[in-house]
Amino acid sequence: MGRRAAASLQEGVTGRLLARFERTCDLVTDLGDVVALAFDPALLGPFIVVVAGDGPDLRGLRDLEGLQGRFAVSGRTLRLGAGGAPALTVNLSRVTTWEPLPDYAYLGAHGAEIASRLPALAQMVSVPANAVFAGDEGWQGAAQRSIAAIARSSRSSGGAALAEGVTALCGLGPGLTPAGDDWLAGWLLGLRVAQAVGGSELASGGSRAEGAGALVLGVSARRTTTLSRAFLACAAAGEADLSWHTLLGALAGRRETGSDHPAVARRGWKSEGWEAADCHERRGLTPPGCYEKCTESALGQAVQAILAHGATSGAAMLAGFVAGCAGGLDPERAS
Amino acid sequence: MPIASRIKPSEYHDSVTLMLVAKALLELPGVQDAAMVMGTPANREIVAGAGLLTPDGAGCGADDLLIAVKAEDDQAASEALTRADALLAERAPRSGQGGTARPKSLSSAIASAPGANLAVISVTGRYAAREARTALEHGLHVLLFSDNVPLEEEVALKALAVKRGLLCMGPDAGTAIINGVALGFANAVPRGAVGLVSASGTGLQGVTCALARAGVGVSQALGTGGRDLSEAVGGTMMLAGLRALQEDPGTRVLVLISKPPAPTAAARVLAQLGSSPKPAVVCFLGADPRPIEAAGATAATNLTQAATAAAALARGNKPEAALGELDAAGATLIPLAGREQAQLAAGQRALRGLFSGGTFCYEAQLILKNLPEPVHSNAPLSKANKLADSNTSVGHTCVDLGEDEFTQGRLHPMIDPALRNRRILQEARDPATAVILLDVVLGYGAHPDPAGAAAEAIAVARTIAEQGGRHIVFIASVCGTEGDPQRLSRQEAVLREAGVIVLPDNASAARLAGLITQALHA
Repeated sequence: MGRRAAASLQEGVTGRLLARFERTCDLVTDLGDVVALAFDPALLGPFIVVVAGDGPDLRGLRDLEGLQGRFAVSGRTLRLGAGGAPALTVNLSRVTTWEPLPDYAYLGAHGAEIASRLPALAQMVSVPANAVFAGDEGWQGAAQRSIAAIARSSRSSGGAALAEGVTALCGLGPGLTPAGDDWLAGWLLGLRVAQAVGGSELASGGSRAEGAGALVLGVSARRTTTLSRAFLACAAAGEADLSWHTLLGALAGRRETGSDHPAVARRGWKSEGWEAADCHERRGLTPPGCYEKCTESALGQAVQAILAHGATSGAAMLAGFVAGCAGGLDPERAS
Repeated sequence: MPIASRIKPSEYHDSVTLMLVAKALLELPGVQDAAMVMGTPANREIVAGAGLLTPDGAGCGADDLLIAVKAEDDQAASEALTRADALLAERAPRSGQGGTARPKSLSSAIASAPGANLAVISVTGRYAAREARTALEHGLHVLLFSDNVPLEEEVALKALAVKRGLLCMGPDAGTAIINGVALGFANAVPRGAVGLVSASGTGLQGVTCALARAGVGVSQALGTGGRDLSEAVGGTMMLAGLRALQEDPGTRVLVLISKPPAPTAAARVLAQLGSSPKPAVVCFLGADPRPIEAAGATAATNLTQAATAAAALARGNKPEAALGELDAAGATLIPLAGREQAQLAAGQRALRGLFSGGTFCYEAQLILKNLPEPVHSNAPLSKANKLADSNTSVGHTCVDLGEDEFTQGRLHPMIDPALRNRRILQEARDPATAVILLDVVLGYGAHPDPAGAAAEAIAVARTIAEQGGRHIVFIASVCGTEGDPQRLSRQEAVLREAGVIVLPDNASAARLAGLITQALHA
């Protein structure tokens, strides 16, 4: 499970069911922390607990309204549903903790490669992002104005214009996590990556990414849903889901090898040297050509996996990420 | 007009559900406008700006679901809200309906259905190869929709399939008809003696539908995925499919379809043809026909020719006469082109092809390649004509709206016509546009009324053009059959009522578009 989930699900914690879907259910502790249970290991994230094996359709569990929608952690077991026969029990005693913070030092060391792949990423993202934000619906116009304001102010020290843009965008748009929040989450991650690969610091000290994170955190406290706030808090801290780790790795020229089961994703990052050599041996091609093929496919796969999130969440977050990278990257320092 | 709203406190639904239910509300009779959003302050402002926020609605919190409708009368508004409740409940089964475990992995699905012999796999590319391998190792044939599967994994999967005597159709295979059962994007066609193997999904649809129009049935239609005839894959699955059809007693005529194959892959496939006396038609779009003819097969330069030749062979006739009649029929387009060209204003010189089927886009470009000015595309015949920005047409343009860049995270245009409809309006605003060429694809998995959806956009496009003193020629072909859920004749009628020139196949439609455009440049 993600580190945030591990920190939240301590012995004696209680809370309630926030939402349930086919493959996941969201819980919120009585202290206000969001945790999610997921049967799909691909959904691993900072506050996700991946539950092994096929499970029931969580929507069809015995009705969990009211008191029945409570959970408690006791004896390293999470029990969802009140009474002697809870609707769901999850054994937490053998779970491993997954670190949601990408290895920004690794990304920094591969800044030139990341910068070289950003145009390709921007191109992959442009049409799906257009489909989310370009259009005549009321919220789309408001979103475009906010995004433009944020982009204009992102190279300066921020200030009132940035705060206005973030405030207007937060909680805006359709979806369980409003599209504006998804964009902001991606933007925050993009700023972190840009900072890692050599983006310029604020003149007043501290990092643009951290300042933006604090701003979004403050605004989201009063402008959006509990679930979306949880995602934004992770992004503000520079944390990301597994699918984003994979994307960042692909940008840096790395593709996961060995076990391909994401639930056993290793801590730490492999260099892509082994991957390129493996391709080379298997295909009898010169390393540069093979490497390009591996990387292009890996980046496309990673983008596709993210775009599969929700109806628009993936596309919106990718759009924000590209903007964050572009807004935070100092091309001279990155090369 | 009354506005009604409902707040669902702390009610979360996934985004796809919200989107689909919101869309369904807008389609209800009497509903003028609707919103279904989380009640955040920003969303409440937007809903208020749209005139949909009631005092009740204004009281909802960020974690609440806000549903608002504006309708013709109170009854329609009330019924819409009731319908919203029902749709939301429908998509979230409660106790007693969904409490039992359903398989969530391939392994458990196989265990629960021991008689299954085919797995249809559509997961994101990253996991697709693993799932396909699991299926093959369990002795199942595979139809692999997923794309973004690395090439080396495709090679390995197909090698494993061949070793086990199985078919691995794909990756990126969206169409098959196995023992009369349509899989993926496929059409209702009669059973018969023609067996097909295709590296192109819409190519397979085009030929099977044309055969059905000719009253000729299909024994099997196998998809291989778009990269099968590349150098690396070497035509592995086309060969496997071809061998299977050569041995199949129900197949008397063979048809192979692809975009231009790698020479080594083509050679392997053509060599295999010689090992069976069954007549074959080979449509390698854009390829040199001579090696095909040297292999003893009939070479078809487009999908319609392939169907025409195969139909003749299925009837025990030589294909040459039928192909000759097909060529002659093309001459009837010339006077029609002249009449249409006469209605265009000065400055209208550009052809804009907007395709949902990649092979139709490719076929059209082949037919149009001799135009005085080049045809640009996001999937061009030549890299020199690649669009710098796929969202913006340049001169003559044929766009494949089913390409990955348009479908990442979105429904394919055969399912959701919204993107193409927006593009129709965009092209209509361009004063250079003379001709808009469309393919309309029917069948299982496709939009329930693609012609109707296109006709709405076409009507608006005409108005836009007329306001600018222009007339636009709309040309379309419908790929489908009478047995399809959408019904071919009904779809063609809808388009004709919208003033579209409807031709029986993509090749004819492209030819007409080319004749009109050529006359504009004369």
